[in-house]
Amino acid sequence: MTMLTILQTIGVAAAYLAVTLVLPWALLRGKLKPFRLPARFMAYFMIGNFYCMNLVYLLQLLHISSRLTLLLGTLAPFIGAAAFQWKKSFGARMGQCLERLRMIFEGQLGRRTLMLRLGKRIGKLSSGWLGEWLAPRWPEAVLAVGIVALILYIYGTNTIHVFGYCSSDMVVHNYWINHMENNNIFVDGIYPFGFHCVIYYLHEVFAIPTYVLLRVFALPQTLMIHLMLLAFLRLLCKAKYTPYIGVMAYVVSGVFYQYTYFRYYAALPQEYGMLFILPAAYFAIAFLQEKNFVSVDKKEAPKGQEEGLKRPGRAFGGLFKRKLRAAREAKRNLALFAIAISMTLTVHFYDTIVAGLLCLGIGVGFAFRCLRWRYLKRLMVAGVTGILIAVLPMAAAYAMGKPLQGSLYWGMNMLSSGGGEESEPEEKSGSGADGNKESNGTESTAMESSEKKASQGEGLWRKLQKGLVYVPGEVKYYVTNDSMDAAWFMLGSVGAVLALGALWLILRRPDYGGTLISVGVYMGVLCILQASAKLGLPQLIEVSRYSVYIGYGLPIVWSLCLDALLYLLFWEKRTINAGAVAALAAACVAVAYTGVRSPVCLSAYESNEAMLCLTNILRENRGNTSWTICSANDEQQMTWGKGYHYELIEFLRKQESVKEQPVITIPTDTVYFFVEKVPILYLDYLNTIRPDRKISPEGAGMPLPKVKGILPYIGEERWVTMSHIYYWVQAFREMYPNEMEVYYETDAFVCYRVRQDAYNLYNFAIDYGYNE
Amino acid sequence: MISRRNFFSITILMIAVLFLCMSINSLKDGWNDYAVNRYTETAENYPSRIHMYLPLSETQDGTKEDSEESQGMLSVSRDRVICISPEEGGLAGVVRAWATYTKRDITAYPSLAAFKTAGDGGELPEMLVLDAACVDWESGGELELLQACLEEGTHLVFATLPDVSVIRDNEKVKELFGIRKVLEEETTVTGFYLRGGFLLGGETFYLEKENPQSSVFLPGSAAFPGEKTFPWYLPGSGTKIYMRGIAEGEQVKTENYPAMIWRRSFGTAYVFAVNGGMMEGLAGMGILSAMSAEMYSYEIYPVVNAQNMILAGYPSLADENPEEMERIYSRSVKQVFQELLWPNMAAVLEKNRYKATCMMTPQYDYTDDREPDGKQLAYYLKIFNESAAETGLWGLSMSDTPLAGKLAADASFLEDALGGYSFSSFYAGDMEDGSLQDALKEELLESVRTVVRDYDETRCMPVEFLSEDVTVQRVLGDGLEYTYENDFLVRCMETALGYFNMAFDLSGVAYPEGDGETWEQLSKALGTTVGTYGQTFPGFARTTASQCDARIRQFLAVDYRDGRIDDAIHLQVEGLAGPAWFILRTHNETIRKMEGGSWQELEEGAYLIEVDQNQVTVTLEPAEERFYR
Repeated sequence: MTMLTILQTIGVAAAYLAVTLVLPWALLRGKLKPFRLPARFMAYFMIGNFYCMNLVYLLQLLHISSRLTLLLGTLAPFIGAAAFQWKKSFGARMGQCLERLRMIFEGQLGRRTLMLRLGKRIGKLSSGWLGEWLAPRWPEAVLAVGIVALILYIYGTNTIHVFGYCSSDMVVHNYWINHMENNNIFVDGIYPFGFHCVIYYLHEVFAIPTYVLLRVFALPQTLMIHLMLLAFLRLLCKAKYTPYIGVMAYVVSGVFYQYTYFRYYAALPQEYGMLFILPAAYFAIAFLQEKNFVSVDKKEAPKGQEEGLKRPGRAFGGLFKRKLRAAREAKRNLALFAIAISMTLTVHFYDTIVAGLLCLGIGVGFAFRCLRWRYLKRLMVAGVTGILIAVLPMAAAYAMGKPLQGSLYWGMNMLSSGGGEESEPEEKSGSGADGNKESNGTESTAMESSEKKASQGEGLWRKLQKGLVYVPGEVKYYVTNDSMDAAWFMLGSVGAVLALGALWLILRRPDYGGTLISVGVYMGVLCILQASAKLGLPQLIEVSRYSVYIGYGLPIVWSLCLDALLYLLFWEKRTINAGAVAALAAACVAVAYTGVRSPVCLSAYESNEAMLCLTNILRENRGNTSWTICSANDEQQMTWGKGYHYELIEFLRKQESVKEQPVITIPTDTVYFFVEKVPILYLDYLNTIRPDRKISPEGAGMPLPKVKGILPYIGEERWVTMSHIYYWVQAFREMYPNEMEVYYETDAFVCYRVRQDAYNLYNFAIDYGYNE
Repeated sequence: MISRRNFFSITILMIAVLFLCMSINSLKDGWNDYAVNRYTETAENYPSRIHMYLPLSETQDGTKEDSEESQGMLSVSRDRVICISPEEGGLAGVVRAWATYTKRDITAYPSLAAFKTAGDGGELPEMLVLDAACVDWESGGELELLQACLEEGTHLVFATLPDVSVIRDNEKVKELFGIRKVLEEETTVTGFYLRGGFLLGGETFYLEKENPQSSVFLPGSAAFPGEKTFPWYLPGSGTKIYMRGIAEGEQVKTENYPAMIWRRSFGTAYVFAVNGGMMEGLAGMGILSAMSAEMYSYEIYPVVNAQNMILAGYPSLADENPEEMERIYSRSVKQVFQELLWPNMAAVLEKNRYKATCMMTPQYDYTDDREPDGKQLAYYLKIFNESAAETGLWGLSMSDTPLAGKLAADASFLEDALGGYSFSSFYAGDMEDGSLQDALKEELLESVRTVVRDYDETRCMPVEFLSEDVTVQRVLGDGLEYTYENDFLVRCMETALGYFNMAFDLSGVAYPEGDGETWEQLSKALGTTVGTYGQTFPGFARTTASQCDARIRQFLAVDYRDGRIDDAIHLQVEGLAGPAWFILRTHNETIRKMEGGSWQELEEGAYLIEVDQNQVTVTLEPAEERFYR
């Protein structure tokens, strides 16, 4: 299963990157050539994701989404580009392509020949262009590979060892994605579906089961989140190697509280949306850094320079050409900014809010340009356009009569009421962010409420002044491992980046200084908002979630601080990179000294054995849907359309009336019973706590939980439920020793299988001694 | 010009080709010792009646030596069967025959009260086979006795059920049989459904018509197994249904169809209930074997492993009934047999890998003046010899000629044609025992080792010894008429004994009794029968009557003990004079390896084991491994 998971992860990552990086690269490599490599990387990724999401949205709203339409939609830009590029010869070229395809399908062009040709091309690419490209960049390439290896080690360990969903709300996402197969988007109401669109796209086009995607997509997603961070820093830092300091520290440092990174272990929309925050910030900064930016129109070109526009040559060196190029780049930056903003909203509201805060920081940092109307109006238009693009599919669905999803009402209530105690309904994992710090959290909440009452009636500024003293404590509580020193260090580094930004402004490096201040302001605001409950400020997002964004922002702060210092020491000299290497080495020592984080394996919401059985069952029953899993897990969504699921609690409740001789039949050829001998701890928050309580007659002797929904499968209730089913299975097995077979068994889990005759179904209602 | 060397080479080649072409047929004829019956071997070479295993209750001194105790083996408790049935009833005979074949011991009592009174040494048997009429259902004591048997692990097999009123009014009886509800006191079903994995041959539907709207009756629906009218019981929890009737009307849910054979579990023991008289006759033997396989994690028992096709009354060598033959076929009976029947039958049998046993007769009618043709005899013996078919003697005639007279005429003819011929098999049809014993004393039949007889409902042993050295093998039906009843019987016999013996009476071709007996119609019926059974049971060995005889002798002589340690089933076999065959039935397990013999899969969970040595070890493994671990 571990090997299968590794292969699945590689497959999913390859499919995702092919769609979001390779295809945009193939189409737009010429257009985006002026960008630096990290910016190109971001741009391709933004465009790939944006197109994929909106293609799915469009096809889903038109109810024509299928593999064929998705493939056609994916190929459409290429066909369009080819038609535009070749114009007159397009028909002939298409004919050639179709002829070649015909030859392949008819077997005239053999597979081996095709593979040989492709291999030769790839060989040329690797030995020629790739080698040339890598030659001057090998140190960075080595570092980047090292960072990737670190990420894979830290986060991949969980992926390949924990097969179940690592977050409680993934089953809901699974359910929503499943219904997209029927062109029934927004099945549970309108919700940002960007993440779901991408997963659905990968499922439909590459035929990867949705549950596999949700299991393993976290790793490619987390990898890309970190690579985005690296690319962002690489674009902002002056030294080559300072970006690696922040990323390395973020990946391996043990100073962070587990909740700041635990959510990376699950494929969740909020974390997926984080992919687009930093690109949005970068393209906004890039736009604002363009000093020569003016609105240029080709028609306004001075006489004698029109010809120069059409052919390359020295004429391009003219002022007008520079302006024109700057204007083009500015437009591209704005377009990509709009795309990134759009995607934050398409994926998760929290990411839009955080991207908004980052834009606020950028507004402060680049106030000297941002307040100019020609910058401001374009930024605003781009931002609003991005938001409109994101809202449009949801608005269209709303107009078609779809209601809003419950959590949106909750979010709106939160915003309108200025915060609340409840957690978001479908994303329960966040509500228990405190995890091990539960008792501390209770105290904190009590303090919050008393402070709130005291602060009522005071002015905002006064409240801020009074409340700011709570910020270090809140950062310590939510972001660090209960270390006040680490909290002060984090806050100090935010202050330092602000100070260095101001210094660089004074030293007449406004773009660099502005960037530092932007990051400083953004992080400062986030840290203040972390204490928003105590400050009496409205909670824009759930308070525990700020720590995720603070954790993600701190590597930027640290890298930029060190970069600014190195820049101060070395200025534009090439030795700055040597200094950066030294700083990287020192950072590694410091991280090792302060404590290194080791990979963790979360306590998943389905046991590994259950997932293993599920995978085997799906494999064995390929093409056959006459099987049922009776379990406490949500295999119903995982096996959607491939088999059936019977709720364990329903099954047991029917057994209660055994004296009335009920008939409980499950009309499929095979029935599987998943029994946890050591019931898993189905806790709301992500955790690493291992269950150790075994099922027992004592548990079976207790009455079945009367609660509804998922509650019979949580905590004590799960133990009772599992005890009941275990003793039911034993009693049934006594009656049917040859028919009820052990399908898979470990010390903590056992799966039983009953094969039935469709014309003579077993009556599963028996007296197992604990019916009532 | 051709050179001398080339001329010489061409000449040599031509001579060689000519020699090869000419000599093949001559050699084939020369080496075909058709006049000698290849299946004739003296009976002393095979186990005879004295070697036959007899149940403990039937030994003369009332004792039976236990075979060598297996060390550390977990022996399956299947020592003794007690049959509660009237002695004159068929059930006792069936159970006795089954116990003999499966090497169990048996005791019979006329009533449960008699069993209770006898005390029977205080040791409870492996299973109790009961006729419900022999139980006093009103007496609480007898019900308690049955409950006590169940608690001690004794399985109860009810070959018949008590009256519906008893079941309806007595909750304890209902509980005993696992009946949830008596839906109707009597219902008539339109078909049967037999669950796969119970009897060999897989899941089966016996339907009257293709669908309720159809007006055409399906072939086979002329006779159903058991009764079509019986009480409608709905079994409750803890039961497993093996056979159901198919109720009339589309509104009845499948799970509510009336149960015919089912099982009720009591933890350590089962109660098997048979509704609708399914256990009457030889079919009961197969049902008992199938039930026995359901009782344990595995079951191993000896079988005959023989599948015979008897072409009765074929060929006839005289040119008989010429007018009728000319009218129907425009040719003589000799030509019909030679040009129509044999190519047709040989192709059908060959396709399903069956070997023919041709029970020839020189002539059907000994009163006319049409004498058999000796050349025809030589011709048939040659082609039978080439196709490994056996030639036996048909003991019947169309005329009223006494058997002794017929045998004398046949002996005379054979003496004239071949200088005599030794038959090892003899087709006696429904001949009386006395006549048969007398006939076997005739010189012509001295070499006969086995007698093929017609199916007889009153006879409980399909294979047995007729005399010290001669075995009887009964045919299971007329292959020219396929019925569900016959199909069910075949499944039961295959399950219990791995034995199949179907006769095709071809005398009707020469003397048709109606237009339906022309070869055109009969060949279709033959094709259907051979094809159906051939495809359903491909795993068993195809034999001739004499080969079957050898297997029957070994089957009757063999005794065995078995036990299981972990995954290994150990089998100790006694009385081996050659290979013996067993059926191993498992549940979700398959054979990984075997020592002391070989095996092949018959169907899921059923294996045919060929045992060559006294000590056999069969190692099992789960039927399927998980692909991902």
